[in-house]
Amino acid sequence: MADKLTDTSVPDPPSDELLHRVGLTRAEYEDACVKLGRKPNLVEMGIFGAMWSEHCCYKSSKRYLKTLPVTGKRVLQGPGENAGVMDLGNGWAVVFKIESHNHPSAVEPFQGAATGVGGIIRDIFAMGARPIALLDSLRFGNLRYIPPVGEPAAAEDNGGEIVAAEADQEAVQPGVVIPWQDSPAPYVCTVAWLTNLRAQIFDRGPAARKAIEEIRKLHGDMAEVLAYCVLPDQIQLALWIADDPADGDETVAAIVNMLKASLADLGEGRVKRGQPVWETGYRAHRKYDQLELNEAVNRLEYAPVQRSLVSQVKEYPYVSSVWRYGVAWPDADAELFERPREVPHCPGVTEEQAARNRYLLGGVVEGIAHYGNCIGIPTVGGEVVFDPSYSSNCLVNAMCVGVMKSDALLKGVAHGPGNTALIVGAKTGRDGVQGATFASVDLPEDYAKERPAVQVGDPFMEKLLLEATLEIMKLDGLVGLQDFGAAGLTCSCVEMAARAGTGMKLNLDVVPQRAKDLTAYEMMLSESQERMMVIVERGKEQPFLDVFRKWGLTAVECGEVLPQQNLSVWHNGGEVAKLPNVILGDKAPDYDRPVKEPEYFANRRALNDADIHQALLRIQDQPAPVLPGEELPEPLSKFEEMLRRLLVSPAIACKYPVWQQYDYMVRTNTLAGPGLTDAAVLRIKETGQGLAVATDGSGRHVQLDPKLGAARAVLEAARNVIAVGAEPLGITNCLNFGNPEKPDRMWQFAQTIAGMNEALGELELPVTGGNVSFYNESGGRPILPTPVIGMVGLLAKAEEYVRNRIESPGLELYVLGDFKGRLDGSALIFDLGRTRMGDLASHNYRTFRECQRFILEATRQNALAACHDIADGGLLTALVEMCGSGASIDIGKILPEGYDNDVHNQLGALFGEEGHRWLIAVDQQHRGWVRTAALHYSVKMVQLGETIDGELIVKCNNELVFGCRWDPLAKLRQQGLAAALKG
Amino acid sequence: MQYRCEVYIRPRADILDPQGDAVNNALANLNFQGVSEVKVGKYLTLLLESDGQSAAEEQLDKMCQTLLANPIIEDYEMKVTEA
Repeated sequence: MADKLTDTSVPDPPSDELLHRVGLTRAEYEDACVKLGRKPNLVEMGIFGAMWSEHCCYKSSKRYLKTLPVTGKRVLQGPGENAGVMDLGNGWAVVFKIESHNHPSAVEPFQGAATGVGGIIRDIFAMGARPIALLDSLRFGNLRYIPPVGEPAAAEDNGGEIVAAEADQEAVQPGVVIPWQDSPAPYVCTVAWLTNLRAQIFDRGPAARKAIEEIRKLHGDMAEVLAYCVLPDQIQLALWIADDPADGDETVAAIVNMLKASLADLGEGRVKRGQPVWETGYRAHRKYDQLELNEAVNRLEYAPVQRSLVSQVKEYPYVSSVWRYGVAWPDADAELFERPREVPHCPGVTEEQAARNRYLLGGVVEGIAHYGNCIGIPTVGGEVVFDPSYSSNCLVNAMCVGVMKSDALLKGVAHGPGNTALIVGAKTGRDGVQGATFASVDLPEDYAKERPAVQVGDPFMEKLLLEATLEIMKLDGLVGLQDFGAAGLTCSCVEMAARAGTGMKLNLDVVPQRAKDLTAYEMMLSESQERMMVIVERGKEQPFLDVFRKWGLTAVECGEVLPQQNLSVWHNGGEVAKLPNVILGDKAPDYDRPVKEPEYFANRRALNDADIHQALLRIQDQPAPVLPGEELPEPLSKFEEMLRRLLVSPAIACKYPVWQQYDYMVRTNTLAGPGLTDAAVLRIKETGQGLAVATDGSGRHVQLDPKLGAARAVLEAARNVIAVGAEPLGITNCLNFGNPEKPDRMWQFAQTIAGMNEALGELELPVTGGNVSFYNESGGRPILPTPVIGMVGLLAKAEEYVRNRIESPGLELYVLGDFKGRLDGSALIFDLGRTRMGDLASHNYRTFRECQRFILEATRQNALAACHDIADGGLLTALVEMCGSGASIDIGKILPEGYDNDVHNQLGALFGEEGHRWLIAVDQQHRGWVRTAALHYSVKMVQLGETIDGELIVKCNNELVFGCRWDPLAKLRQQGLAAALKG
Repeated sequence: MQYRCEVYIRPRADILDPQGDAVNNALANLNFQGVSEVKVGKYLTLLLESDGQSAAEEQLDKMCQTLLANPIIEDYEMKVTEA
């Protein structure tokens, strides 16, 4: 328990320890003194600390958040209020917001998660809406032991401040070190020749490989190959001719002709039948000294970058690396095409951490269930994701959705000087004193010391507060109301007054107190739950007090609205704090934190065959998952094995053990709860409309590329909403990041905002609110950067929604969208293979919008038997999730062609997650409509196969890839999470 | 040696105790006058086979820390006697 801070005199200058306790840096303290024109006393310092904390004033993120789109024709209330509001037409509006409660949940999972849920519910009904649904986006460390991979980079610890070690820099210094003898002057030249009409013959691995093989054969025979580059439409060489210089030109011609002849049969399908593969002739340039040769070789090896084939030379596999290593091929026997790369560090999870992760997951889910079930609001969806980086730093993001009459909008404003402020609800204790500042520092490794920040929630009290609030909305004289969130009384008073351009006088002596001898400091900062501030016109208080008494709530007049923009706090008959609102709010610090692109990002490269091979070996370290008593088929196909592993992994396995604890049907508006649809569907009884709600976030994609990853999170949430047939309306976001004082974390944040902006702009969706949670790191290790998107969509008729599951065989299956998924960023490689690298493809928004229009129209036509977004785990996982009985598919038309190895291409088609794709099932009756409509809407659609009974059969161009029984797959998916929870 | 262990668990001072508050209100509704500050806790007993008094206390304390009590929001007191 924090020492009682009864003494309000402050030593001058204040000690570091005191500043730390109130949550101010010395610079901020001095800034506060300047802005205030005097030194603040202890209560005022506490108020400064809370209001200037990251949690309340967004001092590191403000300038970025301002760039997000917040307007739209449906937006009734954007960011800045308790929650965002959007118009549904018909006189109704939807209110929604997502908020994090990460730090409290890491300390005390049950109460932390419960109060997180309570807090977000209060935000919704403070706008005058009745909450109708909860969603929870949860992230934990893995539930079982896994070893770390690789060594952590030094730069990561230091937040990117340290540049690469000097030795590394030397290694990449370009410079050719080809031995040159002046006497006699050798015959050295570069030579290049093109394919016929510049046909793209060497854009695929096998052809380019063959060319390099032939070039190698040549080496040392007639000439030495100093450098080579195989481009899609030409070959370039640098040659040192061993013969007498007089014969040089002839030798070059002979070499070119030999290579042309040996590569003549590669043109099939790329040049017209009967046409030659090569253009006649070639271009050769002789080089006369070392300098000229260096320049020529550098230019030759830089050609792939010059032509934008890759962003760095080392990413291009079909070029020699003289500029790096000084020799054309460092090791003639090595697979030069794919130089093995060091796998980036991936933290492990110790037995001890795994046990704590299981405890955290159990506690958090119980806490959510406790609060949601008791107050009677259905918990209808969300996500549960696992990654080692969330060990001891779990993420608990709670979203609440409410509906209201659009003309009954309430705001958190304190208009009208002289009006009365009521404090309503639970009594004030020492709960969570300094909670807001607590959420803005890294978690200490010893949690127990942070105990004072733990708050206990009381859902029954909140239910009374909810009903009372909805009842006083009808009374005359209501000015505004706001719940007490982070920084309690302080934050509510300052924000309400600031919005109205007024001030507030508070009398702490009348505040109902649960604990004895509360100081002014503690009362101002207490985060006791289930409390609200209500502003009522002077003289009209009585009906309000009556309503609150009826619901058994204490309500007292604790202050009044002032004309001057001041927060004036009175305690024991004296004024203990007097601060201008403007300093606390508008003039709060606004930091332009340094950003720096981390090295791992600058060096990113698409996965190649060697990476995938290594990842697969790492995956196969562990025995393949089997059901109890089941014998694995012999031999076990690699594809089936990978599929089994994915299905039992807790992030992909069925989340039944989690949502079975939630009451998702209470209030009888839940048409589709967890597991039946991609987004939960709620009915608005009064209008017959349906709301589709989903949360989505993808730490692994954002880690690989924050900008593309964040855009992807928005699109993925939209994909879920669209999959049920609803039109996306808008989003709320919860941005979970590491320490913003470290430039690489801040860079991730800045890029994330840029990516969200791009996707929101393309889809024309607004952000109506949300929150930012920084400092999600422990012991210098940040979490994966995790923006979580909560999206709301609208169905004109609630009953029209599309399910994501079909039980019967005989339905046709199609893939919709950009269906060629590479393995970069997939659950298979990133989570299971623990390979934290890859390069994401950019998003094709046009295809996305076309698919959206098609699916929404198909929904209205009732043409889809099922529609499912292909996300975590890729196509096969989506199939197992969607089909109840079995499926037979042919992936011949959807191979990504990204890899030289055919097995890897097939893995890419089956487990890749790139692009935006939906899987749809169509019955006989509607297949005609679907096929015609696909043409009409010009969507990319490929028929994949059909549902069958009892088996999974995968073919590639009519050739069997693998087949297996369906039952074990479905069972593994059902049991994966429950088994992991047992440890 | 066998020990009889008793553990009293109660909400920490100043932590909200909704259960206690509910009992408090219910008593008031039933016209019991003058009741205040009701707190609801737990009382556990168990038999423990151990080498000695201090070892038993140590074991019990560990049980309390990890399972029997939630030290973040609850206080506990132990009593260990020879059975």
